[in-house]
Amino acid sequence: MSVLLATVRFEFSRIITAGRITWWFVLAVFPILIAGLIRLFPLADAGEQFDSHQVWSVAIYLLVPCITCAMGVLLSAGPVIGTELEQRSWVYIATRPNGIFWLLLGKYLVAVAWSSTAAIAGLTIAVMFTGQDTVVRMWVATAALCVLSSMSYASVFLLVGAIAPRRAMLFCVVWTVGVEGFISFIPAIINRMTIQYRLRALFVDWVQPGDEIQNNPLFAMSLAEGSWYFQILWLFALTSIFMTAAQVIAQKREFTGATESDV
Amino acid sequence: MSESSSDIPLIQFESVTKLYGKVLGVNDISLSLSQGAYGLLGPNGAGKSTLLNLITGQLVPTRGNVLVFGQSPRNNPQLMSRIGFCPGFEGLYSSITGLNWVTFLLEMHGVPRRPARNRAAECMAITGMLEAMNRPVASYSRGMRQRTKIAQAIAHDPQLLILDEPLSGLDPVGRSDMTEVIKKRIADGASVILASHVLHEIEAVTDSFLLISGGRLLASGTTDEVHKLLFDLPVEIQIRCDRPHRLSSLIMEHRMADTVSIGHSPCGAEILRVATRQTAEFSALLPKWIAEYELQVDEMKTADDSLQTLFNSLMKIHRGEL
Repeated sequence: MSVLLATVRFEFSRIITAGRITWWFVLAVFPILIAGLIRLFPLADAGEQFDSHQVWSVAIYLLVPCITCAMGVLLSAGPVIGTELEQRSWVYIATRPNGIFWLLLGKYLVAVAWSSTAAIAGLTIAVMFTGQDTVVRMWVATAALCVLSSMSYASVFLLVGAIAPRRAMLFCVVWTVGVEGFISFIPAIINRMTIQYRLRALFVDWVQPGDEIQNNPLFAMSLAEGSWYFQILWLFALTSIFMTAAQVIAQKREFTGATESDV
Repeated sequence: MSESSSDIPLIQFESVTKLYGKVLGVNDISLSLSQGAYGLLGPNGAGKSTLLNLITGQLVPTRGNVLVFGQSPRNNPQLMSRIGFCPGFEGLYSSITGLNWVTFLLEMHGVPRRPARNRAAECMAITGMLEAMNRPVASYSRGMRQRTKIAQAIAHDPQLLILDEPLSGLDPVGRSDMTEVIKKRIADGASVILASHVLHEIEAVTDSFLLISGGRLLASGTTDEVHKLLFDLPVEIQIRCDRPHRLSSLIMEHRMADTVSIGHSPCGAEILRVATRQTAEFSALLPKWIAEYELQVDEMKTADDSLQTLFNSLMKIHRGEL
């Protein structure tokens, strides 16, 4: 555990740079900005069909746990292996006892913390624009979803980064759009393997956006059944599987700092 | 009956071949090294880095087995704690101080933070980085980065130190300092593999070497042992005289040389280069020719006895020129 602590501490010290801090603020500001715009320019059509609680619940859910968290871990967990290989620092870690294991785990935790703190910071201000009575409940539930979302997406992106380190960001975007954006809405067995499927069920359970949304045919068909702890169990299982796969690939593959000219 | 640790070879290669797709990294190398210091010598692209990556377990042989201290190095945490590696490229984090980086790498060996920091500072001092160790790596010169890399390699007191071009980028003072650091490690009982394409860097540390080229092991052993293999090879003699063309024709008439060529010295004088296996007969005939044909010989020397001669000869054998 002391090695994990050392790795986390070291990685935190590395992200204290002007560039990374700026990105953290950009992530945090993103939901605030959009929530502010929604407040200023209410959607007339949506207002007729749904009440404001429903609109704000869905908006906050999409903006924070879905977009902000996914973007955050996309930036921080996706290129973990790729950047180490690119700057040729991989070998120093790989020649330490279990170095790769601790590096990936440490970077994963830092990515989750970096992303979820930015998302929760943004959420804290964004919920104030909602003007709802249930603002505390919305904040608590969405903050919990932020942590679960960051945790789960970080493991997926870590795996994608281990499979395709040189094009990690591109493949992470493809995965997010294709699997989490499209496949998770397909009413079939395959959507049960997606993170979005589980997060949506938790959102409905915890935030209680209203019957109109839950009974909406499009939404209802792609909503997981079962209690909230069952969904969390699923998320932990998926995270463990993705993390283990990423670790195995990183251990098995021959990543060296050598280029062909070093042969 | 178990083998004692001193009986276990430091490094064993059993018919090891490594291919990168269709590119040959190392080709059917077999060797067994006991503990000690070795120079890994070869031109750029010879396969040195591949060999070192196989030893550190970064690469898996396409064919054959690699054993270090009797164990496979691939994903072997216990073995990694016994190996210190200084790669041939930089790969340092620019925003981190040298001290923090070495401390972190020591912590990855399970050393608690405070002792790790003290030991890292000690190693930075050993490599002459005491004053600069709290500065970010981005502000380091190439030589300072090289010193920092050596500091991280020795920090956990490894039994086997693997150094890939450790003196590149260092000024003469730095080269001397780091050579002393490496020699001190050897004197303290550590085994060292030092890869370089510069002969005198290896000669300054050890006289045992492995010579590789084109992914093949050309020779191994001490300088003397390899010389024994080469007793029948031609000796190159350089002669500066007033009529090199006349002397070269005499040499050829008497069939005294394998090759004769005339080149120019840096100051522009003509130099006759003679490669001969009949050094005794040639030495007896030359004074006679000088007297009979009134030749004026200003300088005569054989190529020096350093590893360079050996390397050149082995490379010529490998290329089929001898």
